[in-house]
Order: sequence, then structure tokens, then C-alpha cells
Amino acid sequence: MPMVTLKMFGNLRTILAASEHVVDIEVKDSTIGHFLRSLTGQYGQHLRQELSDSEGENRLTYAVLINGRNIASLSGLATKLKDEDVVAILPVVEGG
Amino acid sequence: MSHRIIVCDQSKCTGCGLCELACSAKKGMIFNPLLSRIRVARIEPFIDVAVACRFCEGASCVASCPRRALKQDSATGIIRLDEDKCTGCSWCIEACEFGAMTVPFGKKTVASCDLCDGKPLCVEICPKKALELLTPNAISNRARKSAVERLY
Amino acid sequence: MPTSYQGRILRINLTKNKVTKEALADILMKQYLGGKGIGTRLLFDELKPGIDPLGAENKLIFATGPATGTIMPHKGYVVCYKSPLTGIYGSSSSGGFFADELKRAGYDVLVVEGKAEKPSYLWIHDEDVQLKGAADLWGRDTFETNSMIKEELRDEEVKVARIGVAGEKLVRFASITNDYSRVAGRCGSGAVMGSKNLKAIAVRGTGTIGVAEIDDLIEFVKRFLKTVGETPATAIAYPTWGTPGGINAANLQGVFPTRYWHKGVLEGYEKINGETIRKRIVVKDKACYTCPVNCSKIVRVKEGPYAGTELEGPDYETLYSLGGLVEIDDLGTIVKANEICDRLGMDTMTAGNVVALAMDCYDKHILTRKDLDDIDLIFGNKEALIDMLGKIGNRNGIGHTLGEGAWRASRIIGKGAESLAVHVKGLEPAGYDPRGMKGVSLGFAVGDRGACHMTGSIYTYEIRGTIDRLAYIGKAAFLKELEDRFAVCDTMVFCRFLRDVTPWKTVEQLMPILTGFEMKEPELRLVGERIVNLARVFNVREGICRKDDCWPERFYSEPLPEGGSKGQVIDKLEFNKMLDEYYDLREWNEKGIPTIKKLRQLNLDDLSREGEFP
Repeated sequence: MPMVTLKMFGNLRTILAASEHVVDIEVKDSTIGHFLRSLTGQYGQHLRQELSDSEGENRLTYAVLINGRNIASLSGLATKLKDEDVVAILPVVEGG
Repeated sequence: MSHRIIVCDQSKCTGCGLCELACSAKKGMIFNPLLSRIRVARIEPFIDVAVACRFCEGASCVASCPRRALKQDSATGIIRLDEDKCTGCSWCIEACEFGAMTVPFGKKTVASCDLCDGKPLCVEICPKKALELLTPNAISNRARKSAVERLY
Repeated sequence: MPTSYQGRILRINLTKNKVTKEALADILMKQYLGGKGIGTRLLFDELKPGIDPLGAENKLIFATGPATGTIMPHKGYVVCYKSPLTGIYGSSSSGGFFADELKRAGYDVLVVEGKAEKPSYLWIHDEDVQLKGAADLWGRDTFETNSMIKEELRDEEVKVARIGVAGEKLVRFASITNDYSRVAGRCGSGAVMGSKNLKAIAVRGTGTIGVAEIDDLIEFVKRFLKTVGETPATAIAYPTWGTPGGINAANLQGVFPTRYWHKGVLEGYEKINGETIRKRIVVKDKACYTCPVNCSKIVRVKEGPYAGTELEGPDYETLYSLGGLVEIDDLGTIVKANEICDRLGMDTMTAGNVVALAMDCYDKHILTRKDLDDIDLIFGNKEALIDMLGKIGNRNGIGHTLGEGAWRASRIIGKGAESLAVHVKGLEPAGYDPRGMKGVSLGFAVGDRGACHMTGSIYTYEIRGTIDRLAYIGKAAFLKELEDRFAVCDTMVFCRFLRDVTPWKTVEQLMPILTGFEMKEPELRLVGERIVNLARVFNVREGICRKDDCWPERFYSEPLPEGGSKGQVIDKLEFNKMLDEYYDLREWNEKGIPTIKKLRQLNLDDLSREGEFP
């Protein structure tokens, strides 16, 4: 089964309580959508809240990158994952 | 003492100064921070704290006035000025330990925070929620709780 | 009816030691609004083409806007001048108190012209204006100058815009600093001040600012602040991490300029990102005057050789130029380097670029160790970076050449340095590699100052992923819309970080409340276009056209070697198609020159000489 590397930034790192910021997670299904759902399934309520699309106060938006490409520029949540992909979930912040 | 005062949380205040402009607008219908009764104390670069009248018990300013132009409301603690009696001698300004008494620019008489008749505009405007209207006991309650939270 | 304009220009002629107070023409307010608008128009009217930017004929035009001095969150001043770095249009903005103080002194605009006989500083105290001697201040850094002037004038509330030694020595990218450490950074406004023998401008304004409808304004601002508090960028991202929050996104997507533009990823970027900075060195969040976003951070280095260094910063752009470009990922060093630039009063972005250019030249044996005053200027050498910055700011040794900026320095160095130098129209780019951001490749190519990220700020939407950063399609139209809107934001003056919460509608609603006159969106769009076109005409008169709206050759042929933009270049064909589309949308001809038809539409046709425009 393919393995992807997951990088997390911002508050996610504390929610996921990973001692290392790079985590190898086996991918059971091959789309990013399924992968994210499995993450929220595994790590529960807090992560689901943080990542959810629901309108709400002070919800930071997150970008999901696969090998440095925003999934919005690929096929969104239907984008397929493959072995050795690097998935990054990070708060949307531009510099200046 | 159950007087409510405006307190500024130093960990939240960024020194933006919107409170001063709000007070100036409310009291003078115009923008000039020198008209404001709440003032940001800026000690560059590390400290910004907004300070307004603290309605001290037995306020020094009231006691100091040679013309007894300042009177303190016993219920709220708010200090009010009889404009006709004030000579602008500034004795009360020297007496106040907090710099809460000022002479608004262009005027000859002094002014201090009167809580805008109950709903201070500065508190409403503060974008960081650094300003709050609290009683002293509420302040210490808060500090106690956050100290305990940090520990446990 | 009251208005938030003071209605006055303060003009200081340093040669004649003459002060005049002029009425601010109605047409300037109605067609240019304030800030960058009025500044650009006055600059255009008052400067002849071809003058020496470091000569007495150049001017510094400090312009405030209709929101300045009021409770509507705003940002400082815009200063317009001919840039000594590029030789074309220059404008910079700076947040903080200075602008409000100037306006409260009674002036919307300050024009500084001519040249003082000896080092001087201007003291503006409401109606009273004096030119004072600055013999004791000359040679002092920007922090010392600030406190010394406040002490001399015996007033802590005085606001001082000043230059450091870099400005005195005419480093072409010297900056102007005001308040504690807010900076009008790019394009060399500080050198213009230095060339005028003007060390500082001190202001004390005790006056008031009125507005047309104060109650409406208070209600508007309450709603505005609520929106700010509900928008991710302004409510969480910028307040928490400031601009360094962008470090992760840029590196993950492979567009973080590293090793003098040869790479797109800095290996140790996590050591200098927003989270690390917050955790290790941030002491306090700081806001510019009236700003609810407080993106700024006050930091103190706690360990290492630079322990104790304090700074307002470091910002994303500095982390790229004094970190990525020179391949240094040590936070303490970058903070120290930033502080040195701040004390000397010079732009960190250009400074990092010229040091990295020198590193690249050394790496390729174009410069020898002897040329570099015996400094082993290899990429990653922390002490060398610190040394070089001191040399540049003081114009010692090789610093004298590097203080000319990358474009000129590369020509002086020769031996192939010219083809290494990275700039557009003489301005070094901001921290986004155009090969991985095609909108940026257009935006930096056509920006009025050169490779400027502020004119269109399209980098924002490409970094966020709002638009596909690798696509060329649709970028021209997207960019034009941003440039027009941000030109108007720069008239008010709004900070660019309020971009998500200041659509056209905001300005439309604000103008009558502030000034009493109506400005509907269609008219505001014309104001935006007017400013963009005027800056372009200014540049055309200095010789700019299509041939300058482009990148150094290596960006079309040298692909990024690794990371999220591996293999990417700017496709020349696609780039030219984008440029053609941009010119079409702007109604400029194929050479990038505004057509007379467009100028007529914007009431600019009377400015053109007979047959000058197609």
C-alpha cells in the first residue's frame, strides 16, 4: 500500500500531538479526500473542527498541498494520491 | 469597593490608539487624541497600556482641589467636574498617580473618564478586547483563574 | 460641511529656506483622493523628465489620505519621488503615527524640494516651521536620531521621520524611518533625503481632524472591525504570525528565493518560519497607529552570539532576502542583520539581494577575496553577511559598489556579473520566484516601481491557492483589477493587509462620510486607472517601454532545480501573450505605451505633448 508523508503546520501540529512533524501514514484509499477524512476520523473532534468548511467565527482556512501543489489547482478532494507523495496541511497565510 | 473601572490587559493591548480616537469622537465630535480621557502609555517598544481614571476611594484629585470643583459619586465612584469652579490650576493633575486627569487640548479646564454614561465607547471599539469594564474583585478573580489554569 | 481633508499643502524649499502653505486644489482631491494619488500627480507635474534623482531638482512628496487622522483604520503616509535606485517612478509607504501628526499639524501633503546648505532637520510645530541645524545628528543611527531630536525639542510626543548613515552616504536604497521602527523601505527615498542634506523631519500636530458625518463613521468602523475579526487573514493569520506566516507556503510550493535565485526552497525554513519566531523570540504584538491587525512583532534574541538584539520584525521579505537569498537559516543572525539595516536606514530587501549577488559572483570567481576586502563571502557565511551590511551602509570598500544596488553594481563589477543580476527596471524583486508563480511574473514585470510586489500584490492569491499559480490564463485581467483597486487603497491610505476587507464598496461608502463628497465605484475605478496610467506615463518619459517589462534571461531558461516548482521556468511565449493581454486591457499599444484614447478617458490627455502618445 502506498505511503505518504504528512507535514502539518500551525495549530494542527498540537492537535495531532505528533512528536515529529513528519508522519508516515498509510493511505487506504487513493484520493486526498478520503485521506483527510481518515485523519479526522483518527484524530477526532478537534481536527474536524479545525479543518471543517463550515462558516463560523475565526475559522482559519487551511490549504492542502500535494508535492507543493494546492489541491484547488489539481482535482480538489478527488485528487489521487500515490506512493511517496508529500501532503502538507497549513494555515493559509501569505507573507508581505 | 464595587466601582467598575476600565482596565487594559497589557498582554492584549497593541497600542493601536483606537480607544483614544473613540473617546475624542464621543466627547468632542472630532478626532484628536489630546481630547481623549483614556490615554495609551507607550514605552517603546515593549509596553503599550491604555490608562483611564480608576475612581480611587478617597481620590487624591478630589482632595487636592482648592476650589472643591471635583466631586466623586459614591455609588459609581465617577469623578465629575464643576466647570465653573475649575481654574485649570492643574493641582489635581499633579495629585493623580495615574495621569488619568488631563487638560483636553484647547480647553482650560480638566477632564477625566466618566464611563460615557455606562457604555464606554473605547471598550466597545477596542479590536483586541483588551479593554474591559470590571470591578476590582472581578479583576482578581480573573487573575487567580488564569494563574491556576497555567499551572494545571 | 466638515471634511477630513485639511485642504493644505506645506511646501519647504531647502535651497531658499522658504516655507509656503498652499491650498490643496479641489481637482486633486476629487480625481486623486490622497496618498499615492495626490503624491503621483504632484510628482508628475513638478518634475521634469531626466533629472538626477540625487540632485536638488528631485522632490519628496509626503501625502496623507482622507482616512488619515480619523478612527477609520489607516496606514501612514505615501512618499513619492524619483528613485535613485532605478531612475524611474519611486513611491513607498510607511505605517505609524507620523502621517497623523503631520495632518493634525494642519497639512494633507508635505513637499520637500531643493537642497539645504548644511545638514539640517525640519521642525514643524503646527503653523510654525523651522529649519534647524543637524550637525550633532549627522552620523547618528536612526534610533539615536529619534531620541536626540525628541530630547532637543523637549517633547516626547514629537514624531520624527529620519535617515541613518546609509541615507547620508547616498546608498541608493536607503530608507526613511518614522516612529520606533516603521520604514518607507524601497527605492531609496532615504538617499533623496540625504542628497538634500535633510537628516530628519520632526512634527508635532495638536490640531483636530473633523469628518463629514462622525456618527455614521463610528458605526461604519464598528461594523468594519467586526468584519476584520471574522476574516481569517486579519483575525488570525496576521495577528498570530505576522508576515513570517507565509514562509511555510512559499517553501512548500518551491517559490522561496534561495541562493540568489538559483533555488526555490531553503532547507532549514522551519527554523525561521512564523511558528518558530513566535515560540522563540516574540515578546509582543504591535500595531501601527489605528490598525486592528497588529501583524508586527517585537522580538528579542535570547541565545547565541546576538543574544539581546531587539527588533520590530523580522518580516517575510527580510527573511527571504537576508535568509533565503544568502542561504542562512539562523534566526539570530537574520534578526541581527535586520537590526543593522534598520540602524543604518536601508532597505533589507535590496541589501540582501546585493550581498547575495556578491556571493554568487564570488562563487563564480567574478569577484575575488581581495575584491571583497578579504571576506570569505560564501553562501551561508553568517559573519560575512553581518560584515557586508556594515560596509554597504557605510559605503566602505566593496560596500561602496554594492551600495549602488544590484543593477548598477553588476555593471561596475562587470566580467559577466550583469547577466547574473536579478532585477526589473533596476528594482530587485520581492520574495516570490516568478517561475513558480506566473501571475507574479507578470505583476513584477509591469509594476510601476519595478519588480514590486505592492502594486498588484497578485502573489497573495497565488500563494493562497485562490488562483492556480502555474497557469498563465486569466492572470492579466486578475492583475489589472488588483492594481486598480490597490492604487485606490493607497490613496486613503489603507494598509495592503486589509485587502480582504476593503473592496471597492468600502471606499465608496467611506468617501461621503469622511469628506462629504460622493465617489461611486465606477468613478473610483477611474481613479485607480488614472494613477496607474500616470505612473506609467512618468516612466515612459524616462524611457520605459515593453523592452523593460521583462525578466533577466535566466528566468526563461534556468529551471528551478527542486521542490514544489521543480522544472519550472517562465515560458517566453506564454509570458508575451499575457503581456499583450495586459496591454490590451489597459488600452496601451504593443510597446506598452498608454494610448491617447485611454489618457483622454482619464482626463490625462492634456498632459501629453503633441503626438507623444499613440
